Amino acid sequence: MGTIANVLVGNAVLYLREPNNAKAEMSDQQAYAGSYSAKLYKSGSGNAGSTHVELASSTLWTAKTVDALVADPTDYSFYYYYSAVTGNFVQYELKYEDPDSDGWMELTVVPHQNTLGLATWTKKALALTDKIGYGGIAESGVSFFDWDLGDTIAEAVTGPLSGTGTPAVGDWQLKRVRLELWESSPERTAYVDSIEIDGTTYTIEPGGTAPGMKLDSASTEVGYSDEGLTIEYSTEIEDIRVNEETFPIGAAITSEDVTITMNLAESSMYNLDKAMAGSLLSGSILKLGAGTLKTLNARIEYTNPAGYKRHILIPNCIASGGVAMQSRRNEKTVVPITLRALKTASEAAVTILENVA
Amino acid sequence: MKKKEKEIEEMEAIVNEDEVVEIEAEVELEEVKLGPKPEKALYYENLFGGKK
Repeated sequence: MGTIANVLVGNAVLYLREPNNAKAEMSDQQAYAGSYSAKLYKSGSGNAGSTHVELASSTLWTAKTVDALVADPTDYSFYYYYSAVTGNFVQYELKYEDPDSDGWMELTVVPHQNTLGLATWTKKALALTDKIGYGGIAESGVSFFDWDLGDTIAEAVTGPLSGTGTPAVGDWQLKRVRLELWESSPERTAYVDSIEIDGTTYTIEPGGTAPGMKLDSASTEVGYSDEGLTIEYSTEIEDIRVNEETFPIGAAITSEDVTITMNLAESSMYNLDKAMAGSLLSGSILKLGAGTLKTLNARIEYTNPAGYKRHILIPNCIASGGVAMQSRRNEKTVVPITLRALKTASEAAVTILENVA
Repeated sequence: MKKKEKEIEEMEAIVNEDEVVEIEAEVELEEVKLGPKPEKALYYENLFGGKK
């Protein structure tokens, strides 16, 4: 008999990024431990934003408070391998939430600003003297932020945050961690592995111990859909036949394709632009006829039968389908989108990644 | 005499100008030393409004 719990049900969520100038991938090109690491890449152009590997707890990590970080930041660490350029490399972002209110704070430690990459694996343990920037919503509902990098971890509680009009955050609890590249330039790659949070080291491997692991690059969720999402893998197989045998004696794949189709129920300019291969969106104007074919970065997120995340990562794809939108009285206008995966030079065209934690 | 005084005043003005230029140059050097503003700061400025 089968196992009902293994039957996958429910919606998938599609996230897109375009232009395709930043990628977060599970890569076997480099690894500090095991066979894989998180590869974070910025192309050198386009918008800034968080290209990251994320570890998140389904509930708050109650013992991992801001006070605990300040008491000993050295048990928060990661291993890194940076490409040989000078730039702003990995930031260690910790998101804390107030268990007693809707307050939250993203505390970002920036130990590798304007740093020369050495193309070798090195450990970085956070230190009291590392610079921080932070922003969030206080218990009172008022926003606060300070990003002039004038503060250090040591001052996270005793510095401006605990001054007049700023929230007391010492007992706020950790919700998630992101190791991220932010600035778009220069072109650079950072591999990140073995992330330590408050003394526990999590492996960055398929099936690794990192809880709620997610690789993302400031993507946008396409929103409501109509009749869900379809991902289709197709192949063309050429038989090898010889005159003396009636069956083929072998076979070879001559082509492979993965396409994603989805009817987007939200007819936003963003969604229109992503569905149309040659469109050009600038603010509130979308133009057709420029003849450019844009590439996108797609991520599909499921919850697997065990209750953990399963991601389908397509680092390079194009919108390839026709877009027919019907407007009728009292009916929604759906935007059909078809994405087709392209191969990149060093990584897989499509990766299906299952979390076990 | 008056002509000489005028010349001295003009020279002092030039010296003062030089001093001003020097101060400006120091300020510029300091800004370069601090480096560009982290782009994540702009994210929070957009999210919450204002500058800090």
